[in-house]
Amino acid sequence: MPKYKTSEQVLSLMKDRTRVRNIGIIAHVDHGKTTTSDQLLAASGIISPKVAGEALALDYLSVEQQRGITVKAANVSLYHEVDGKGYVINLIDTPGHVDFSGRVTRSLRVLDGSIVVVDSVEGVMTQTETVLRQSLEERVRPILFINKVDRLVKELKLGPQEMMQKLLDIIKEVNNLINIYAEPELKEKWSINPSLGNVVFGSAKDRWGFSIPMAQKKGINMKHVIDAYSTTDKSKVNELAAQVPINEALLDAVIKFVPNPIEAQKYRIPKIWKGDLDNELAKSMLNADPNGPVVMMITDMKVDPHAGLVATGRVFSGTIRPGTEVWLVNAKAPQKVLQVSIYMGQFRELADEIPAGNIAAVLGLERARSGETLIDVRFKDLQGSFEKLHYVSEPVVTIAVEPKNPKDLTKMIDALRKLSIEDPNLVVKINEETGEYLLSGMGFLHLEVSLQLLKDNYGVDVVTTPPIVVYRESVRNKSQVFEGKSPNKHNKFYISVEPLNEKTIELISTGTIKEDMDSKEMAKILRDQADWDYDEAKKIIAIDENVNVFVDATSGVQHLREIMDTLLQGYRLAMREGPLAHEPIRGIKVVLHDAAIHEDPAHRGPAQIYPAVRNAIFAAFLMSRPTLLEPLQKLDIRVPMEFVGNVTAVLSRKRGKVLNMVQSGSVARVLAEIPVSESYELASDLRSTTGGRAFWGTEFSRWAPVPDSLLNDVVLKIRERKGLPKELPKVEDFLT
Amino acid sequence: MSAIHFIGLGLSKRFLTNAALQTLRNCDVIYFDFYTSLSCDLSPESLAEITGKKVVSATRDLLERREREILLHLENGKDVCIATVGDPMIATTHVSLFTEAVRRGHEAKVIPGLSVHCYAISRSMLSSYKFGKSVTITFPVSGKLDFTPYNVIKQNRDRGLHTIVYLDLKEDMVMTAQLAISYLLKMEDELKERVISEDDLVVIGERLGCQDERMRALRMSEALATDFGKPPHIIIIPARNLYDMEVEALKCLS
Repeated sequence: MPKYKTSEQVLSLMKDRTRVRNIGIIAHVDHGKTTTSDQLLAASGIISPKVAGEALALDYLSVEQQRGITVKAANVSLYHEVDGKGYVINLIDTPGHVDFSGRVTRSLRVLDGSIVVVDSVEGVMTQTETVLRQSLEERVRPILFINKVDRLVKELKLGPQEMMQKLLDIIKEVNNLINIYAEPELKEKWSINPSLGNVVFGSAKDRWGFSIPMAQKKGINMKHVIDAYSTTDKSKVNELAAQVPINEALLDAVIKFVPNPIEAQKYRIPKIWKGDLDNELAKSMLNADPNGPVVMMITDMKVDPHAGLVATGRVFSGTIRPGTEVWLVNAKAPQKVLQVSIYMGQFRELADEIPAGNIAAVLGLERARSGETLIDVRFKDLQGSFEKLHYVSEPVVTIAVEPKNPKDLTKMIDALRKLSIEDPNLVVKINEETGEYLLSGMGFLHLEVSLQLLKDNYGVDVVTTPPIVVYRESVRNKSQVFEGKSPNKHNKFYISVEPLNEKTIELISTGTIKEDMDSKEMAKILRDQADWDYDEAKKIIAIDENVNVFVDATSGVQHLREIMDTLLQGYRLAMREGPLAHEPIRGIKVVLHDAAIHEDPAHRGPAQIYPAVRNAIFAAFLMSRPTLLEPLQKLDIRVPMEFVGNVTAVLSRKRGKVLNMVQSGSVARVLAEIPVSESYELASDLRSTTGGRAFWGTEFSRWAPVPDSLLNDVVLKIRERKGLPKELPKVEDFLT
Repeated sequence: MSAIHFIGLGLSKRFLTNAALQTLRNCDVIYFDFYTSLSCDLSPESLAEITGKKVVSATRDLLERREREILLHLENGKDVCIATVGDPMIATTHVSLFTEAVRRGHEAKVIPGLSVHCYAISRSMLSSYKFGKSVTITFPVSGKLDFTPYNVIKQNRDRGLHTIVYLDLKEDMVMTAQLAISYLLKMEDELKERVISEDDLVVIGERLGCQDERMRALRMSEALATDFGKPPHIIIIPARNLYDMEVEALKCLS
């Protein structure tokens, strides 16, 4: 039964805060995260008298139901009682598919505990490991839920002993991971111990579940489970669900093992707050002080057709109210809160104020995006945020979309804009030449899901081109200095390029190094960690979104200052479309050694400067062993030993490489890497070669050079697709 | 070997010289440089009419990118004319094409034309010995103004010199004197080096060389509120200390 509560009742618990828990559910894809959430909402979701009677479902977006995977992070609030005391549990629905794992990390920051769902038959998989590791890194306490226990009976026909053994094996594997990834002082405390009750066994689909203490109390054991599934009569399973309801098992464990916000923030803030811990903001967060300055982290932005942009996140300090003036740390802008709401089940209801430790929905923050940190506007000069603004994800697959009905064009453009606000990993661009709208995402599935959302939520039906894999252009050698001239020949730039080392690329991708930081601080990091010469590093004046840097090594060039913005814009444009195939350039250092600039502004405008910079960079680029980088995907495959040969055969046919192979019992775990461009048919090939016995997960791995033997061919194919001359570019083209 | 002629057409038909006309008539290919200056009655069409020849009109981009095409004509034994409103070498960048042609062994010649530079000096009657560097006020690029004009005027004024200020011409946008003055005051507002003030005298030429041309001297503040009619316009920022004769002459202007 859902819990009928008024918003006043919920708010009074939220103000107490020892009665609040903030949790999420994390799992490998298809292990049952959505079903678990659905069951919790159906059984324990708070229902406001206002909306009672309306249909309930966590995944109110039909797309997610159809596909059985959860895409949108939405908060729902649950109500549960232990020993006669009521608790509000905020369930932040973290995205489950790896294609969106950037968003998983973000949601984790606002959680204090997580329910880790593992399929009893498949056991711990790649993404289980990934999300559990991320969870532990953010000091989010895990509770284990071993789901689909019915499969052990129905499919594997195990007896009670074997079942217990299988379950203990999974617990052992999870504890191994906790032992590897948790911080030393937490390893012991956070490890899973069945007799304590921080692991639940059950079937979310069939709505039953129990921990060992609960089973003992209610007189239930594995024998009952086996009996319930050894007959075709469904009534035994229902009986089990009545005796040991899944929501009770899980929420009992949550309330017992997940700390309340006041306890949690003491040890979590030092981990998740990127900034000084001595100032007033941090101190107030450490105490979850409702009377301190407001600090809030936004984890989700949604466009509500009626309300506009809705920002959802956790208040870490202070109390947020309508009219509160906040500073957006990443957007560097002040904004005013217009309305605040709490979640009642999955619906929002207006509130007067929401104190630290709770999840709030806020209206009026038009400039915020997921990952934004809000602070009290009076403290805007203090350094600090929850998330550094950086480019976590690099979309690797692109499609061109156009509306089926040409009349829908404006509607489609508007919808795409909204989608990309809600999902920062979705990138929308216009191809300037063809006017096509290009949609880029993290993988094939990600784009499919986005198109479905476009149709279901915005009523726009589109036709698309086949997916195109995105490449990057880069160099492998250091070039000499090349001269680039403007069309009027009166502006000249002398430029060389060279590859950035791996460490520099990492520092930039993780946001440790960014363009707007103090140049001395940047130089120090680069010298200490990435072998840079300090003086050269100090001259970095631009870092672009594709991980390239621009170094101004000139001194005393007249008029350079006046054209610097134009020059850098020219550099950025050149980085966006490289000379080989007009793909973005990645991982290079561009050094400006000298320049000659016309004295009159009329003769050194963008039309002169852009081509001059571009020509010099491209000529240098083509002379330093240029190559294309292709996205590689990591594969984690579990397959019975007898099929390992078939699997590796499929992999090597697709230019895949086996990185590691571990055997456990009769099952092998194959870790491999495969180019995304070769992965279109991968799923069906793996299935057919193993008779459907292989399970696997994928993740973005890294960018790697296309093999030299294929390079020219790939370059020419892309050029042809883009309508460029079907020949390799020559240095002379840029030396006029 | 062939020849390339850089021909100044002057400011309007009235100022087209015989030398220019004759050379044009002897050219095999005529390019009309259409970007550095505007004229009231000189256009590719009117030039075609006067010369009886085909005239290729070239915007800035085209002329610069047509360099190869132009050089190819020369290699093929054709004589090429590059016709420019005003003067071909004053406030342009054609010199690079000139030197390239010479480097390739062609003959290259300049037929000067009446430039707005000289025209404005003459019409203003300010002492020609006292002009410093000239400069162009350009349209802001991504919202940012280039402050070079401010610095040039400052350097000139520090040395007691006048400044000729050209106004940007960008595709279909032509800067008016009114807008240019507002940009100058904006620069003063930002840099605050006391180079320009609203009370300063400024000389503005309108459609110089045309029938309805006009040149007047007025205060910056007045200029801000004045509609100078159709472009092209040109501005002279006089030195702070004027000779008596210059003062008298400016009085005669308006």
